[in-house]
Amino acid sequence: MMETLVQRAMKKDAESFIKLMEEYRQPMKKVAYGFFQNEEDVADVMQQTVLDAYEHVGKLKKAAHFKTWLIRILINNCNQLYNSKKRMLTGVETAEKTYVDEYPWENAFFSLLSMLHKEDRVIFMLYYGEGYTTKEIAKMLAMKESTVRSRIHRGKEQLRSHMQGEEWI
Amino acid sequence: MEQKQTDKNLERKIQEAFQTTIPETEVLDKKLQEAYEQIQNAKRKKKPRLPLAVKCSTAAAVLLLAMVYCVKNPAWAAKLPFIGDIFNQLQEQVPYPGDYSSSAITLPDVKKEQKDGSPAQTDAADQNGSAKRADETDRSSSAKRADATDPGGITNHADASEQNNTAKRADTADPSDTANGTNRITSDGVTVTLSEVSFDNKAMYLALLVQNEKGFAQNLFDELELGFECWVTMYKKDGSKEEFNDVDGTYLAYHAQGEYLDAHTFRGLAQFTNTKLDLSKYTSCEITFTDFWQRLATGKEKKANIPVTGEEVTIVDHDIVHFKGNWSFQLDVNLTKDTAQEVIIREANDQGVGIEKVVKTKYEIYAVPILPEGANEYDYFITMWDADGKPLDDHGHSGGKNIYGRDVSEITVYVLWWEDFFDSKGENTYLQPKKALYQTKVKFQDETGND
Repeated sequence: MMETLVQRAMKKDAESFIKLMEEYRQPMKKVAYGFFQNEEDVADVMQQTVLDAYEHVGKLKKAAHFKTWLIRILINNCNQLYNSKKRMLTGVETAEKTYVDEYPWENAFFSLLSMLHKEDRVIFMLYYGEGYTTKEIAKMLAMKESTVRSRIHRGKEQLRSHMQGEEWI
Repeated sequence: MEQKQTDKNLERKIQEAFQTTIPETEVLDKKLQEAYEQIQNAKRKKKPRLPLAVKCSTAAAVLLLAMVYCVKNPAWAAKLPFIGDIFNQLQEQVPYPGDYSSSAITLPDVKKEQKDGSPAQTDAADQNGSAKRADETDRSSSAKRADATDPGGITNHADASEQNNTAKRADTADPSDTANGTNRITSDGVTVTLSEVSFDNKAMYLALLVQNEKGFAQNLFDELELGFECWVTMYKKDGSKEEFNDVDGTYLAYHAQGEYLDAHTFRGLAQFTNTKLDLSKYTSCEITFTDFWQRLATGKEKKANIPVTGEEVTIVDHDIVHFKGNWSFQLDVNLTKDTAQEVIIREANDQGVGIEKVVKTKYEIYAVPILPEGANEYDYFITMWDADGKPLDDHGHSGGKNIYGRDVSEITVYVLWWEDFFDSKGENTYLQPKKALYQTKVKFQDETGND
């Protein structure tokens, strides 16, 4: 069913494409919240991703690559928006502060994200949330696999200390 | 030991947290709705652009006049060599080549014309009548059926009388007869003739001729294609039926591939299939075409950056010409002569990756994989090599491998992780045996794949 939808979307069928976007709405949102705490930013970046994806979907060669391809576009847009916002702020410290602290809701997902370094959040989301391998994540984020592994290790240590402190584990 | 347990708990907590559903927000709903509307409007804005007058040579002009005459006079058209012979003409040119012509069923109107040279139910009154009937009933009944379909796409047979009639016709008819006896319909100046049909248990192959009084567009993006939208209702032996259509994304075919013989005539083949289709479950079907479309070479050019690489490219949003109408056909699905061979493997490696069975039909071979619990089928690729150690090509959209002209007395099946598949295709195909997560050899009785 999903593969059929993708194949149809690759032929620029708007209805199939929109159905796919709805299917992938949750994973896309989770990745976007790995970058941003602000719901307007998440909405902006997802809107842009949907439009970019529709524009380029005809060039996708294999239906099986759709989800990875979509998330790559999303990450690219997140990076662009993040960098443009960062440039608008006066200093790195301010920027880091803006992008590390509060999420709009309290639940296990956002609590866990807030315990992680910003640069580790997307990696964790892709690894634990979407089941990608470290090799795949390295390709998606254009970084070394060893870096992905060490970030996962570092993040886990950080979560361990937070969770033990709060008696989660 | 305690540390290991803590690690396990930590991993579990992380996974649970990442599976949590995030609440929806109004702002996101609004933004996505805007994006969807933009996408839908972009589609609607594409306006049909009919072809400009073409300077014809004398010979081409004569041919053009002949084709117009042909549309007006189907009996004359029937005498042209391409009707009833479309499989033979095109079967090696499509992306799913096969010897369809030797087992194809020639449909009644065409058969009758071939016999006595007179058209069956093709005079103007009859054609209009067929189109009218289709307009009045089929599209609305299709829509109704779609509404009544359960989430799995299967409906219980509510309109039993219709199904019983169809079933009765199927039981008593010549196997080559269509259920309503006509396979040529004109709607809004476009005449569609289904001339031949062939089946295996994975797909239905149709040969069709489309004659357009107004003329087709000329400056095409793909000169070998005529696109279409269609609804297919497949009737099962137990009286239930299943819908396949564009609205649900369950369509079985979206284009015919073949050739334009002139400005008014296209002939082509269409493969009706999907990766899960099993035609042996059905006894008859109804195919309703609602739109034939052509993608033009023209369109709006846009500059865009490829995400990730940032490379600038020019993209053309192609103009599309539509020929809308209603062409509804009923066909019996006859698989009595099908000789699919099924080899049960039912074996998996330590990682839970393996093969359940391998099936060879008249036209293709496909394998049913065994995958670890929770795994996505699209993360794995199945490749097959023939007895000469050469990879088999894809067989259109069915998900199987094409066997035409290949020695498939023994094949090797490989299951690859998707990323390894992309690292081992083309000139790196030789890497597949090394990279495969699972592999097995299967023997079949017949080298050619024919019955």
